[in-house]
Amino acid sequence: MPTLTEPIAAPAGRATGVPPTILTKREHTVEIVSDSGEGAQRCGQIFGAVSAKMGNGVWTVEIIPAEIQPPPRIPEGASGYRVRVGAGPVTNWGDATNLALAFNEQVLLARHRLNALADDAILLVEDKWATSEDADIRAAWEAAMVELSTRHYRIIPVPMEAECLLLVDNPRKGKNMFALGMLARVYDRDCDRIKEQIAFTFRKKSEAVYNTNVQLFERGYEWAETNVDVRIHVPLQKIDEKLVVMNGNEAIALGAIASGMDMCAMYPITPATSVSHLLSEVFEKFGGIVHQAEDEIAAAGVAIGSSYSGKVAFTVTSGPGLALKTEFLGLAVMTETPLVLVDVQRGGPSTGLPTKVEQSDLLAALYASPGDAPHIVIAPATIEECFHVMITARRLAEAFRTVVMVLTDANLATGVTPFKRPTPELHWQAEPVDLSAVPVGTKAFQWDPQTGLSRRIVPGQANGMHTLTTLSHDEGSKVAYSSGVHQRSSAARSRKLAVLQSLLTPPPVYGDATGDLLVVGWGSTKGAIEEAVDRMRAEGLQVSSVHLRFLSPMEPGLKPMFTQFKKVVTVELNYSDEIGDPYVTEENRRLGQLAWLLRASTLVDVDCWTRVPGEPLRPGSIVDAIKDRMPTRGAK
Amino acid sequence: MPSDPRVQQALTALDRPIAEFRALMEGALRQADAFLEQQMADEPARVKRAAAALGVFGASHIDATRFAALHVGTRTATEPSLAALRRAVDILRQMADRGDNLFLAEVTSGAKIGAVVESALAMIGWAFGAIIVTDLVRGGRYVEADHASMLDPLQFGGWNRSERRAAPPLVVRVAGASVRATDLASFADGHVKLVLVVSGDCAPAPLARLITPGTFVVQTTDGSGLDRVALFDGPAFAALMPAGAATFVHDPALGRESWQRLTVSFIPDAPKKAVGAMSTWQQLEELKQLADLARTPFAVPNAGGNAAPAMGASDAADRIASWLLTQSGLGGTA
Repeated sequence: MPTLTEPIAAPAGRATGVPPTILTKREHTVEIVSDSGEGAQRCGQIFGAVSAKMGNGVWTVEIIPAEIQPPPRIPEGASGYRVRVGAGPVTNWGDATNLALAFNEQVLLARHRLNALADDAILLVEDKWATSEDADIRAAWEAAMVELSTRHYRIIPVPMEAECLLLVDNPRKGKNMFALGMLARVYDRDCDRIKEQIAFTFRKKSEAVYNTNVQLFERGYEWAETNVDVRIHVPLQKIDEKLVVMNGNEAIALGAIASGMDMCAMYPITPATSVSHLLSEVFEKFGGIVHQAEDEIAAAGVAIGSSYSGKVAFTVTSGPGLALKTEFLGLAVMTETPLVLVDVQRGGPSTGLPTKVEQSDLLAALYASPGDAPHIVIAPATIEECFHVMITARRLAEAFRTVVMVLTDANLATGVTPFKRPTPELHWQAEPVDLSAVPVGTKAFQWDPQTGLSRRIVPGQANGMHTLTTLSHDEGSKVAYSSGVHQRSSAARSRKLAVLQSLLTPPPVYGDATGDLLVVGWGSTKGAIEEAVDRMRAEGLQVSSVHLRFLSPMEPGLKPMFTQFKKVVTVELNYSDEIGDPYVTEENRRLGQLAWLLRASTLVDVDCWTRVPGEPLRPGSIVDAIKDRMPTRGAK
Repeated sequence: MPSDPRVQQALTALDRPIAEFRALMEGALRQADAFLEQQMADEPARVKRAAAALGVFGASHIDATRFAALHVGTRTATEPSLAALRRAVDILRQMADRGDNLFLAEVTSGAKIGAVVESALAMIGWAFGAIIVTDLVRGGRYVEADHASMLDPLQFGGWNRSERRAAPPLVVRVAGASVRATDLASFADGHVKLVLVVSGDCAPAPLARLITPGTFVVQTTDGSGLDRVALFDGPAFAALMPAGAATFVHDPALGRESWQRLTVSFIPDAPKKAVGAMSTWQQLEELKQLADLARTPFAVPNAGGNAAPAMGASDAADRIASWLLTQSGLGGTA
């Protein structure tokens, strides 16, 4: 175990003349963590983007405090960026951080207490606090070092502020570039690419700002060259195809543009807002409009109105906003107005955990609207799918004249990964609405008796005049309260989902089609689940997984698939009771949300393992949980 | 078009709005082609199209054959509308084949600059009509009696607001003697941008007559300022002048007053000979107009209390402060 003072006295490294140790790793996870506002995220973003462009697989996760501006130097205020870099594709954030770079010891403590750091992690930490004039700060530093010394970390103190002060008056504004320089040296990153990225990051600032940041970057690089005695080599892959590097919210925005949508109506809400940030910069160039409404309800209303008038519109929100939009959601279903609604899930209920990931909106997404309001719910599983799902969502919304809800989450929204550059396809674009004269006698809701589908008629269309109502109505949009009409119209709206389900192809099983245990997941957990499955299969366990994208209607073929396994367990980022907890019984146990749905639709005794840690699931945690539930080992 | 490196210089400076207009045409062309193809599609082609329309995500989860069988949305267009669409495609293809020449015009000897510009813009208007017809046919709204005339060249006077805003820039090669700025004034609307490449003897400041509060106007002898023409959100005139001409930039974004907006970098001596129909007096009037518009409205006294030369146009706040101090009897003490 390292002593308290050894690493602090002098960083072992090049200064002693010893050449650095080069560690070759298939993957390595690095995180930069600071107080809020010190730029750790920007440092991590540039590091991640450059790593991806150089040919590493990358998955990033933002570390965001629950408060926008928490007090400085408290563990709860840790803000940062975690980058998992791999020699091959990286699909999730992994288990533990191998190298952390911290701007103070308190934020490092936060990561330590969350078990985010590997036992042998290298910790580069700003050392000015050790000699602070404030005795409390010195004491806090000492206490932190004692606590950190309970693990086998290697702590390397870094005089970040002192070094930055040689170049700038306010190191709080420059430490992140110094840190970036250190990481660039340790991981042997391409400095020219980093400078390009710095130029892009500060493209709206003066040249002097760019130059200062480059100087800070170079200073950090040189400092690490001299003082850090380890280099991490993660082999690069040759990039044979054009890649793009983006987060899920950017992918949603670009997918919406590629799909030919005309309008995004939204109200700012974490973690969905950045969809509109990107759109507001570029949407107009593609003929689109971003409308920031006065509230969530109005945003849904504007999108529905736009869609009703013949345009294709979508709205973006998160859990609390979804709650407010549900009345309008019912309106869109009742009036059969196409609408795409993106819900970037966060922790709940109520305002919950605004910046943290969770998959707790599934049941709300399906059933929140009072009355029977059948609609389509799709959950992309990767950032790449966030792009492509928007094209499908727009098409289905129009083809089925209904609401298509797209469920992403904070993990997809803020995570960054490279993926194959999409080649836009003309047919992705929304076709203009058919405005030819409606045949005389055609009714506004002329439901096909088999499919429930009917022609979309927009205001102003010849022979298409009708009164739109959200009251129960007949084919002619006449208010009709008789039981027969309501039964018929409800059946038509519901039938559309059955029709769509008949078009879906059964999801593929990851692993063998038979075995001891099948893990079922949805949304952003795909990468972690499949990595966990790989690890268990490597140990000889008969575990497979299946990942669902369509949740309403549910994908076909699940029951026969489930029966090929001794046990079926969902893994989800939402809350469920554990058998053995006080008062919890098989009868009253509340299950994971997908588990509820699967039990209802397949009548299979689906178990679940769910957590709400406010962070993505780790493959290692899934492995442990699934091993506990293996039928041969006696599940709980 | 005779080669002149300045023409290429102007086209290069305007490449962004030119590319945007080309994208508009090419987008319409591709959509029209796709619609025509779809109208003639057999079953396998319809399935292929359905799969493409579902996107990469949809195609991997949805059976495109069954999706295509559902209907969904393929409308059969009438023969007259398809004929109109084919004509629109021909027009757009012709326009596309013209390349840069679509955005170039030349005022030949004896021609009037206004008429040349009008004719060139009518060609652009033709493209607008073809684009609209494409949209009408695809949406099932094409009515032969109402819309057939859209496939004829459209004079600028008939352009609507959207078309004026979508107008591409036009580079006009013209001899100095043929430059009649007043003939161009009627084109100052929307995003119309005209760049004159002037050769030979010319009045020194012909574009001074085109300065209005919302119009970007630049005269340059070396091409500086042309890039700002491309970026300006409104109508703009520019002239690449022969050496010796006045050079100035009038940028409406720089202020409410003309002296705030206008930066004159060079005014030549008074003209000594007539150019074309422009007498020396008329030319001098243009130079005076330029000087008047650029003149700051007040002078600042120096420390001794004598009138000082007007300050530079760069700091309006200082000038106003100085003026206030002067008016309140505090001039010279600050």
